[in-house]
Amino acid sequence: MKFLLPFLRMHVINWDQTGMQLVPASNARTYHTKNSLDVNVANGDDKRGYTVVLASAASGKMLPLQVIYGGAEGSLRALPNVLCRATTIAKGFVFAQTPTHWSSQGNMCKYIIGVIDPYVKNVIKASNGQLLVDQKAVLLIDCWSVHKNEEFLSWMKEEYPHLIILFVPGEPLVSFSLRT
Amino acid sequence: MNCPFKAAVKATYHLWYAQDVGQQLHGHAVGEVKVGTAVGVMRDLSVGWLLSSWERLNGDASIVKKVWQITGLHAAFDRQVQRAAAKMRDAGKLWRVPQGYDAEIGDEDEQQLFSKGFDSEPDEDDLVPLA
Repeated sequence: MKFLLPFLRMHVINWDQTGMQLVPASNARTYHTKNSLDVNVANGDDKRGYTVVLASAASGKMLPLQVIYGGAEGSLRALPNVLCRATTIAKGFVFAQTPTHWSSQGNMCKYIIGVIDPYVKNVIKASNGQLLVDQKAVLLIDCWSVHKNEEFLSWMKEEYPHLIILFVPGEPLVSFSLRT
Repeated sequence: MNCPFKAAVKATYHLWYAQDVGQQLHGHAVGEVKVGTAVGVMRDLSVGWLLSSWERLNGDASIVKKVWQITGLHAAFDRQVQRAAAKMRDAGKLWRVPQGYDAEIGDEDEQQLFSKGFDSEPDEDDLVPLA
């Protein structure tokens, strides 16, 4: 038990999707005339955005990212150059493409297959027998409609019964405490 | 994690922007400086920014642990919280996850998840704070 806890902490994972801008310029400060009511931000429209799925374990480790760019499904034209992606793919990053650049149920499944499951298996392998082969892992995720979708949950239960999903409140998470 | 990650990406972007402008200022007039922000260019560059931001946060576990602490999620590893939760569970006061996802978790599984070693004395590692 003494050495087990650090490995168990690696098996408690939280993830969330977040929207990013291709030009992540600050909206807080500008060189425009003082007291101006409206200041247009160049290249700030949603068409130039993408989504990143960020996951971290309670041990303090961050899991590889899933990056979703906007583009027609089925083609890979909206993805960055192969050479640019090569280094990140070696680190376990997963790239996807959807028309709106938002995450979807299909992409969540790909994320489980491509990031979560390999990570959980690697931790079990690294524990040198301290964790069981079928050691359960806890996934703490928000109540987004896709996460709570019956189809997604059934798929998870069927394909990955060792991954236990627990829902946590989304927005008020900062003030949320298990102690209360 | 969204906030520190976005801040890291933004910092990396500003660094790239400053370097690009700085390089162009050698031999060009200020008015001639132009930073290319075409979609294709930015998309390729974004991969590098994401990677360096990810490596930066991944290299400092204290940031991630602090986020877990702020959100209160780390309390799940606290023996006292675990004991209190077990008591609430036994008294039927524990809030159940909707949609019945965990409804099929057997008693044995639940035992593994919640009550392993509850009655034993805390281990050394349990007493080490996360952050």
